[in-house]
Amino acid sequence: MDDLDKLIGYGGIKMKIELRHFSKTLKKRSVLTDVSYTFNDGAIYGLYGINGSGKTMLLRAMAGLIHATNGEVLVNDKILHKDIDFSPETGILIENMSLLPQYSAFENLKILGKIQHVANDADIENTLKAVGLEANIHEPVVKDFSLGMRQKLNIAQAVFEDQKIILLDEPTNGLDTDSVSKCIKLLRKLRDEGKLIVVATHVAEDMKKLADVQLHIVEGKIESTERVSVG
Amino acid sequence: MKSQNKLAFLSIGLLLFYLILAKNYLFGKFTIQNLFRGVDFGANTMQTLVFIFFFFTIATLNFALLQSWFSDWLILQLIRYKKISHAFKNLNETIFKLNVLFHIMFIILFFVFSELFHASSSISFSLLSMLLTNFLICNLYMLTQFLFNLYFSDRVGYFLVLVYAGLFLMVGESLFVNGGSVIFQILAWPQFICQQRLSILHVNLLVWYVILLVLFMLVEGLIYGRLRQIDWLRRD
Repeated sequence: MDDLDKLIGYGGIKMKIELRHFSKTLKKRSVLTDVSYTFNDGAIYGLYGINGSGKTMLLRAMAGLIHATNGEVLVNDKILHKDIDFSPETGILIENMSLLPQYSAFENLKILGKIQHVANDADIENTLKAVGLEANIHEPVVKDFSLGMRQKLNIAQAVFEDQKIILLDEPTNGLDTDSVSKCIKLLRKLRDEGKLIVVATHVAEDMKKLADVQLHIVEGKIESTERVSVG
Repeated sequence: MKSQNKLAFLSIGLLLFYLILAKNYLFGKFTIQNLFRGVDFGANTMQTLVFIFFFFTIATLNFALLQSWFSDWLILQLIRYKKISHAFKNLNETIFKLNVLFHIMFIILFFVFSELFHASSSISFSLLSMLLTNFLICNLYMLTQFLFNLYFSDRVGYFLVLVYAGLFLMVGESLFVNGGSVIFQILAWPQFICQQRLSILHVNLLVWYVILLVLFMLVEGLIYGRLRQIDWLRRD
């Protein structure tokens, strides 16, 4: 991929998520307060903060899974919940994500893939290999997976359909050191393909290794942003 | 508490309610055999309403199960469908298919029970024909879905299951009361000769179900209005 491709984004479609004065109140408690920021493709954004700081909620807002109390989220200039229901071409990893326990990793992705019909069997297998599930593609079934294997599969479901926007909440949870390295390698590769990647984590080490732009979230606000140079 | 847990508790509550009502209004004396006997067609309005509660309970339990299977996985589907309506159309179609399967199993199970009871006692087991009617309603359930075009929420699906439980008796009445289809009666009702007793079924029951139907549609409308504001990942 050349520089021009990087500039205009993967496949010639530029991806952008824009938060405009986004606020969210849950049970009279403000979880996000007047957040304004624009995420562009071709970079990995890291949302970093302690538990309860609002980084997960921010990620969910970007996916269209929660509604704003005030403000709005725009995906490629379309307002979520007004112009569109959900952010299109988005892969998402959320906490406690449930895949179908009675099926294998391959079958799970195959079933999900039937909705959009953009990934073939080879795409599914390649993704599962990329996340480190090469030995567990067809067996065992998901209910017999370890925590780390489930997390790898969750990452795989977020990226296997060539999504242009990838939102990951604590992707390294439950992963061993080697798997974390594999995960980082995969995300960097996707970034280099021009995708917009946002990762929420409370692990400072992962953040340093992964994010091109670090956003420090404190009490529902973006406290600071820092552009860093990573591999 | 998760919504499906609430629903499960509601189901158990409904079941208990049914048993209490059954004891107080249906038979006087609470025995398993009397519970089964209570569905014969000499029942009065209250007894019939008690009978409906049984189906409401089954429908609710069924739906609680379905909801627990789907709720967490639903997010993954929603993101991919991009539109809420597409996701729930698919969800409700799946629920419908499972409902058909569920009721086929239900009918088989009660058929076995009816044979067992018939063999072991003199009790006439008349539930079978009603359950066969129930199966027919599965088709009506689908028709209702397309008719109302309300495939936007699993909660709407739930209400449709309730409506369908209600419609079950409406069709049951039209098929069996005042003659109905003789061929169907012969096929579905081995004790055809006894069917004259059906004529004492309640005229006002139909009116009640029309009222319920209108009520459900109103509630569905309200749910649809509220649905657009749901936080999908919010857990109470």
